[in-house]
Amino acid sequence: MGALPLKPDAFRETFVMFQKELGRLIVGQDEVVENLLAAFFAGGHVLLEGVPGLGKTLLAKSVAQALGLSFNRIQCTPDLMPADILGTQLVVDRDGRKVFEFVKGPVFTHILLADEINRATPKTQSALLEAMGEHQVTVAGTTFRLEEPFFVIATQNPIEMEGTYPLPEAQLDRFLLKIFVGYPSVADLGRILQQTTVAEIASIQPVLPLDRAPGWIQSARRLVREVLVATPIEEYVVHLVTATRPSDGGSGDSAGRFLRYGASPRGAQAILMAAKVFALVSGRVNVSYEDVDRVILPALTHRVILSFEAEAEKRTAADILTELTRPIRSAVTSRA
Amino acid sequence: MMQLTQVLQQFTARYRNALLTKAALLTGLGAAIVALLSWRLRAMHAPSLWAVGAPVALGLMGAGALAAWIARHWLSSRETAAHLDRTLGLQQRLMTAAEVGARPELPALYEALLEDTARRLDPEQGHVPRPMDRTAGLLAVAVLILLLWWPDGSRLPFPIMPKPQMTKPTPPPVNPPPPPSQPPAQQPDQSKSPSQGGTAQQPSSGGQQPSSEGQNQPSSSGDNASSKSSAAQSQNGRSQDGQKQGQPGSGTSQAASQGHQNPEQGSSSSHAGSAQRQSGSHDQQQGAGTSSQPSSGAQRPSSQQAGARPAGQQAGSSAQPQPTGRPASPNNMSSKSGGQPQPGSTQSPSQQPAGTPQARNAASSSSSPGTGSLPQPGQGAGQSSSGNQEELKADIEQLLKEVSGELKELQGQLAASQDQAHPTAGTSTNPQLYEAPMKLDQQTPGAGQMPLQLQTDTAQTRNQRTVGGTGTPSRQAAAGSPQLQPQSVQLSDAPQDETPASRQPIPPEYRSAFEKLQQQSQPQPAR
Repeated sequence: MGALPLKPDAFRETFVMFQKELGRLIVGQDEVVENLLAAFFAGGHVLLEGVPGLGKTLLAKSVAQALGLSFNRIQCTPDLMPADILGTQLVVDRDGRKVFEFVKGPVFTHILLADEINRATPKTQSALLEAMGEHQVTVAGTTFRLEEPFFVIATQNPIEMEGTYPLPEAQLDRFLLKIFVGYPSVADLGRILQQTTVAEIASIQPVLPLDRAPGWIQSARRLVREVLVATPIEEYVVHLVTATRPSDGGSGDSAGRFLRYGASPRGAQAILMAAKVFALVSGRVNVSYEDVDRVILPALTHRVILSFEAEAEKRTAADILTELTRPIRSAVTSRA
Repeated sequence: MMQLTQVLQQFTARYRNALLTKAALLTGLGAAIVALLSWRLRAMHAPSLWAVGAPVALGLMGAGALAAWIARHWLSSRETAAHLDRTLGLQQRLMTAAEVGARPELPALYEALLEDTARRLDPEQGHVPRPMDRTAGLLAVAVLILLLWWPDGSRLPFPIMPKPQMTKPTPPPVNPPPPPSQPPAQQPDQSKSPSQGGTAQQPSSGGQQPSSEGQNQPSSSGDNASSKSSAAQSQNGRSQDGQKQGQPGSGTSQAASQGHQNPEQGSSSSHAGSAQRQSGSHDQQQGAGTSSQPSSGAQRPSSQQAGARPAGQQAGSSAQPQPTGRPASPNNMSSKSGGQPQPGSTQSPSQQPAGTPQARNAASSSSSPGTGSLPQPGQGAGQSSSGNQEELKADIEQLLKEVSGELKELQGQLAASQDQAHPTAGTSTNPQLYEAPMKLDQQTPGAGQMPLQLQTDTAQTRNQRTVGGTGTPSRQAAAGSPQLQPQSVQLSDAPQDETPASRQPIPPEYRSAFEKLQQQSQPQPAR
């Protein structure tokens, strides 16, 4: 039995402190903040999707400030090149000799905001694949490790589709969660006005000391991986993921009709990792069915590809997933 | 860890105990149902294949269903933990702990999981299911009710063919009014006899009430049998039938006393006998081998005779009934079957002649149509129940034959009346359609009167009737009426038969055309 990197209660308390700190500035987006923090501590990346003006960029910057980590922002445009993200080789004069020296790009940071990522070309988008998946960058045959923790927050606008490049499936699959940012309520909108239209605008303070933050976050991520999962929970996750496969046919006609491709094994990993974070936040050291149910939609909606019939019938991925996983969830609920 | 393991083991044991308790109760209930089915099939004289095969098949099916039910609800250790998680709201803590605890290398968070689970499990342990839950309690009550309701011996808990309904449709003969010479001392005794059923076997009761001595014995026998039957039936839930059988004691005594006092009304007492016939025949079956047998049959006439005697004689006879009644049981059996007393019985001489007319009365009342045999209450006390059932069955079959015969006769009459073709009015040529008119005999006195004389026919009227009526007209009317003179008649040569065409009414507008056609169709006379 190994030593605990972090006490579960300490993690939960710190997590709640992050939530409160972000909640001072990000009004009415508690669930978004919670999911974003869960994805961060699970070691994944998030894709924020919402109409402009909902505070997606502000949220990413606030998270970085609250966590006390370095932060870079990339405004994705069609002419953005991969070197603009990863870095490039420059010829520099070193002691009278011309040598190539690698200049790190904005990807070398703790938290990277790829704003409006769907406006970048697929070539540029693919530049993030290695960084997001393996936390490293390879330029001109040289591999550079990214500093941990590395966390990518990408945003995209679902309505302005002209001049955009939808993210490839491989890119989408590397986001742990896809979080929809919705409109705030009337009361929350009033609070937003009160906070943002006055002379003194609230600012985010780091929750953790800057020098201890990266180490603490790494410990927290290890703690998340220590969370216990029973075999029935794992079977439940497997059933949920396999239910999205159209070829399986075990989930009825919905998967075959409305889905072209189902969720990948990375989707199952995403579900379980996010569920572990929520288990810790809930004060448990084991994953429950409720934790899994809580992250099904954020973890799978961007991992399934809808068919033409689903788009023709204006079915959303969330609707189809809810329909597919309902019998499995009801069976497990009645059994367990 | 130990605490968690103990909790799991404790819960598993309790859950399995509860499951086994339910299974045992279900087994008992199923076995009782199978036995009840077997017994009912045997009582209904079902074929042996059904009487044995059906319960066995039902038992096998029930055993299979029970095994499947147990296998489905039997919890493994993993399922036990999951069930406990769900029951106690532990959110898979126990399930995870049980699984992780079985691993060879324990993870770092296992101690925290145990601590968390134990902390949440302590206050929740009161919710662990009890071995005897609500369902098991209901099953136990069902089994208990079934066992309490279980019949004794060969008696049916409820009748397969209810006897009162079989005998009730038979119309009893008209009950003549009681004879005016009936002694008034009988009245209170008749009303008292049903209530004396329980004490009638005590000799002191007869001596204390000499006037009721004659009724004490029959009512005692009848009530004894009926009390036995009602006692047995109350156990079987047949309180209604038991009430009906409580009546015959009085009915029997009443009939017996009336039959003795007025031998001509021996059959007239069958209205009481008809009421008692149901219970009496039933009592014959049910009173088998009991000590109340001596008080029936031949003993009853003597006691009834004593009841009809003056009070001074009743006192002497009231001391005899119990010793003399006991040996008379064979006589009762014979009197029931043959209606004649056995001369070789051990009755006292004073009772013997009295018993004979009573037995004859009973026999005569039993031979009266529609009443069947008059049962003597407690008369069949020495018979076995199976024989009584056969006797009752024969009685019922006899009644059914009578009823079916009457019914067939009525149905035949109805069919004959329906099958008879009704001729069109006025077209019948049957000379025997009506009976010959009844001729009034002029010679016999009063022949001029109507068969049914009304006062209006003989009352004085202001105006004399010239004609009318069916009697002889008055002279004036006869003189004023036209007199028919005899005329000589001769048969006409013309055919009298009417042609169908002549009966056809011809409309005026077609008459000319019809005449033309008729003229054309007729052959022209040869010129």
